[in-house]
Amino acid sequence: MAYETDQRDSFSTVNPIVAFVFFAFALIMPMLLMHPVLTGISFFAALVWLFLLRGKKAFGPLLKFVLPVMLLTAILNPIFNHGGVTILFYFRYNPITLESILYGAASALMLGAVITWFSCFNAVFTADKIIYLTGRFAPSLSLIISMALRFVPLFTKQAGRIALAQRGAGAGTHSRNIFKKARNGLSILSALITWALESSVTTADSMRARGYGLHPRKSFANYRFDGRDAAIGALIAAGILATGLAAGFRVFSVRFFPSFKLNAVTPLFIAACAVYALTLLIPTIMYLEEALKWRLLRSKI
Amino acid sequence: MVNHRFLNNPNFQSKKSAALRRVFRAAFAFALAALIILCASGCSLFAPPPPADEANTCTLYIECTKILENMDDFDADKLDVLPEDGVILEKITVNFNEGDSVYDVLVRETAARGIHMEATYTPVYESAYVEGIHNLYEFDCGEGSGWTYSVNGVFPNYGCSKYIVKDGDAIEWHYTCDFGRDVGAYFDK
Repeated sequence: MAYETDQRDSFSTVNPIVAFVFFAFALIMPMLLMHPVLTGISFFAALVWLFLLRGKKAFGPLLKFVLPVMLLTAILNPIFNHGGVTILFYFRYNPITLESILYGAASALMLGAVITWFSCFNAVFTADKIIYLTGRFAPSLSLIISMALRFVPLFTKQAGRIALAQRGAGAGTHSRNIFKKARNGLSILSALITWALESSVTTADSMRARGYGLHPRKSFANYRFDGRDAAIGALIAAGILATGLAAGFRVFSVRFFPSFKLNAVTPLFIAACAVYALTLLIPTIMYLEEALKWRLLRSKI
Repeated sequence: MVNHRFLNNPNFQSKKSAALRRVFRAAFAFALAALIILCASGCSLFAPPPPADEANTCTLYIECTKILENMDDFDADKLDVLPEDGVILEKITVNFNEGDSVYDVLVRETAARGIHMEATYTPVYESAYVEGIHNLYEFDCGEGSGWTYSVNGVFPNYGCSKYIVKDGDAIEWHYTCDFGRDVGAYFDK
C-alpha cells in the first residue's frame, strides 16, 4: 500500500519540498547524462536505499520486473541499432557492433536506476505529501490525482476479496479451462464495478458530511520547514549545483557513436563523482545515522 | 450437505505447481517464437552473404564528397570516420551472382572489406533502405542527407534491392546533402 512508510527512515520525515527536489535530481540526472560511471553510482545508491526501506521485499519486484527490463534493453539494442566502428559479427547482414552493445548496457543501467529511484519515491512520497506539495496551486487536481492513485491498490485489494469469495463459492479464476476462467473473471469484474460505483457515492456523501469545499481549506498534513530541512536542503542544493557545473564543463562527457569515447579520468572527474555519490547517498546516510543513534541509546539503558 | 463442487474444485491445487507450469509454458512459447523467426529468416542469421560467381563483373564505388562541401551541417562526432578525400571505396571491379541486386552486391563487398553498413527492409518499397555506410548515416549532414545510388550514371527511382545487376554495370553510392539534387538525381519532373 502507498500509505505504509518506514518509521525508521528519517528522510521520509523531511519537508516534501526538499524531498521532491532530491527525487527530481535523482531521476533526471541518469536520463540527461548517460555516463556509465554516474548511472552506476545512481543505481547503487537507489538500490541501497530501497533495500533499507523495503528489506527483503525489495528483491521480488527487482528480480521480476527491473532485471528483465534491463536484460531486454541490453539485448534488443544491438539487434536494432547497428552504429559503431567496431564490428564484432554480422546478424542478418547487419553488423553487431561493440558500441551498440555498450550503448544497450548503458541504457539498461539508466533504466534500472530510474525505476529503482521511482520505487524509493513511491515508498517515501505518500499521498498526503503529494497533496501538501501541489494542494496550494491546484487543490482539486491534487485531490483527484491522490484519489486516483489510491484507487489502484484499493481496486486490487477489493478484486482479491471478491475473487476469494467467488472461489469459496466454487467459481474461481484458477480453472484450467480458459473460457471458464474468462467467464469467472468477468463476473468478478462486474461485482467490482458495482462495488466501485457504490463506494464512490459513499465517498462523496462522506466528503460532503465532513464539510468538503468549505473555506478555508486546510491540508491534512502540515510540514514545517525547520532547521534540519534547511540544512539538508542546502546540502542537496550544493550537490546539485556542483554536479550541474561539472556537467556544464563537460566533465561527464561520453560518446557512444561512431566510436566509444569516455572523458579522461582526472582528479576533477573523481571529485565530481564523489560529490554526486554523496548527494545521492544522503537518505542512506540519514537512515544509517538514525539506526546507529538508536543502537547507542538502547545500549545505554 | 456436502458441496461437491467445492471439494472437487481444481483451484485448490498447490500454487507452486501452477506457477511452475506457467513458467514452462512461457519458456515453450518463447522457444517456439525464436524457432519460427530463425526459420523465417532462412536459417542464415549469422551466415555471410554467399560468394559471387566469377563470370559476372560490375564496378562499385562509394563516395561522400558532398559532406566536405557542407561541413557546417556535419555532425561533429562523426569527424573521426569521415575520409579526408571523401572516398569510402575506390572504384573497384567485383563479381556478382546471376539475379543479384545492387543491395546484394553492396552487402557482400562491404562485409568482405570490413566496411560498416546498415540497412533495413522497407515493406512499402519492397526494398532494403541503406541507412548508413562507414558509420555515416542519413541526417548526419543536414535534413536532406542520406545515401542514394546510381547505375551507369542513372539514378533509379526505386530501391536498391529491386535493381538487378547486369554484366558490366557501374554501381555508385553517393552521400547526398540535398535530397539527391547535389549528386545529380532529379526525381521531380
